[in-house]
Amino acid sequence: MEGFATAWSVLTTTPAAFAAVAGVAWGIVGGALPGISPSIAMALLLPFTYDMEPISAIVLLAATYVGAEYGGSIPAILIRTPGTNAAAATSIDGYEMHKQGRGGEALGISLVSGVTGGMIGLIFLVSFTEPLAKLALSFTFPAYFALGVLGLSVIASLSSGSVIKGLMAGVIGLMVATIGTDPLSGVGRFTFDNAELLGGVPFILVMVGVFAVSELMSQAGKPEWRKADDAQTRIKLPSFRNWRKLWKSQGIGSGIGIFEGVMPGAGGSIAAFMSYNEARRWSKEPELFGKGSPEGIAAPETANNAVACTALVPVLSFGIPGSNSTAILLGGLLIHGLHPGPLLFQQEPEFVYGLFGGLAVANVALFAIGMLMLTPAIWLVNRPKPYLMACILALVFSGIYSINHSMFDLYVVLASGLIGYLMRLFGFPFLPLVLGLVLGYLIEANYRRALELTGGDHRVFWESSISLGLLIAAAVFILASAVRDAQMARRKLRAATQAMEANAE
Amino acid sequence: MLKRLPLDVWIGLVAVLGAGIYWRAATHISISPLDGVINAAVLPKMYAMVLAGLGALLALRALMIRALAERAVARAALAGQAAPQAIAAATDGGEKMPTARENMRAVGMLALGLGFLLILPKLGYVLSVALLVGAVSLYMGAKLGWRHLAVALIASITFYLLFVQLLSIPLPAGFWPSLMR
Repeated sequence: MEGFATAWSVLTTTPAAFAAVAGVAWGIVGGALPGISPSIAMALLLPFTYDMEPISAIVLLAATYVGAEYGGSIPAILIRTPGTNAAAATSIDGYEMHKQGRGGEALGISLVSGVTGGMIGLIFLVSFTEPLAKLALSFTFPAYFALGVLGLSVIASLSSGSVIKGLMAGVIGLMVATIGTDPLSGVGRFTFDNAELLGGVPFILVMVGVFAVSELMSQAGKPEWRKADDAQTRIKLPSFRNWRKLWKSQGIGSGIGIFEGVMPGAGGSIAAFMSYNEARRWSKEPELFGKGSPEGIAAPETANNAVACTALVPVLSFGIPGSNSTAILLGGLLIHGLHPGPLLFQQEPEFVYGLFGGLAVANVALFAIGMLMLTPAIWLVNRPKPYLMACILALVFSGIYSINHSMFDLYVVLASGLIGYLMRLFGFPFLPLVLGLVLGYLIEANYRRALELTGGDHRVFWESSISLGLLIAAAVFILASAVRDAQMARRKLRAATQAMEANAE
Repeated sequence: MLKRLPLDVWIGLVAVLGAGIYWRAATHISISPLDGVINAAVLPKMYAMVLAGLGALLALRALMIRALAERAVARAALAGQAAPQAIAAATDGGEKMPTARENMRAVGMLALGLGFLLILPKLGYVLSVALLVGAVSLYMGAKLGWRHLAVALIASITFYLLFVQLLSIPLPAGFWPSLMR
């Protein structure tokens, strides 16, 4: 009850509620544009949050995530081009319904399911974040070091592609984090007498570069997306009778979304496809899936909006993000000097409850803004892609310049864009790189402080049961992923050999 | 039969080389009297070792897969069909790689961005953004014409109003103020 009063007080005395509404609106527009994922929509906003109050800045980013998860379903339904990866499952039945002249109904189901998933995810977030954060109270330096290593290992192992490449990306992120003045001894590292590097490489520049600039580079070679048909763009909300038929699939979507949101590396896409499959398995009409089943939209849309809330649980409790979007949110927290974990709940209760309140406003606002923003979002999707992409690049440069008024920052963003493109090209995941950069200080500082206390005795890392447990978990994750990697390589080879033999015959 | 080295071998070798350079740079980190048991160079050196190890592992893994693939090709070659492409696709990760044209387009986009950064301090924000929007949209397929010019101009004025007038951010003015003195 006290938390509710705090949230109410924050929402009524700061612009956080306004930020929630604005974030949802921006998220819907960003999510609706193919190629602009929730993380890119958030990264584009990040430079503008510097001068904002912390609560408004973080609510704005979190609300963008909520809005983008719904926004992605608009082009998925209308032009069979998912605006976000998580909306790919929605396009299967959504586009079929659109072809049958039921596009408005599909959009209505998507909106209602998104709001339902978001609210259920929020209840889970509010109930479980603080108890989990309290666990971290017993953490010492070795445990924090081990937690950082675990977070990085899990993300590197679970990211798409080879586990070795994931780990390499993580280590490169840690290396970039060492650039600048060493915070413990004040010694300059890898600065090459360049004053601009003394403060290190701000992770916002790397995030915007690898997510947004590399995406714009990729888009340069891709053809224009299809245009939406303006005829069926009125949302038709499901009647109570029809809604009742969706409860089971929404329940499945919520359950899977909650679980996958908390799991690092899983994210909205896996949750959406898993819930689609489970909804089909438990449906009374499984034969309708793939042919325009409303349940085929309800389950994935509930799941990916539940993920948008529950993905904040590991970020707020331990400071370990599990997805690109939450990594950017963590970046936003650190920019404002907010360090997630138990101390955040003790020292900044107004912020934490204000964020929960802001998310509640965002989820409620999603219902209204989702209907209001549909026409502008479709209008934007129908604009020529070359102009949209050119304006986004100009926005990236202007936003980054506005942070420090530095030309050097713009070169760093461009260089990060090139690195991001090369990573795409050679199959390296982004998230471990960004996470390595964000967690670099946590890992190094706690490693050095732990050894300082023991005079350099490394046994401190396995004498503490928490640290030992976390390090074992990290090793298990890496080994299990290496085994999975080897099995996949063997399977691929077998498939190629079989294809070859079939050709010979 | 399969002369070309897998891509991952090259990536692994580049990683080992990069780790070596980083290690060398780490040896130049000065030791501060404030340093305790673990100085500021220890972690960077550890990262370099881990990256080199992972790079070597990646190259080794790719070579092992290639060896297995070659054995499969040798077996299948008895049947006399052209298999190397299929096996190469399987051993090079199997991800859909962008075409050479797509890569060139991406590099072109980067070059336009670089061009913008070079002209920004000289020409000032409004003109540079108009040129950026005009050039990038043209590069991505927009047709040169009145509409194209209007979009570039409106976009640059909108951004100017948003950043300079509304958010009070001092963006580069270029050489224009010197003409007015």
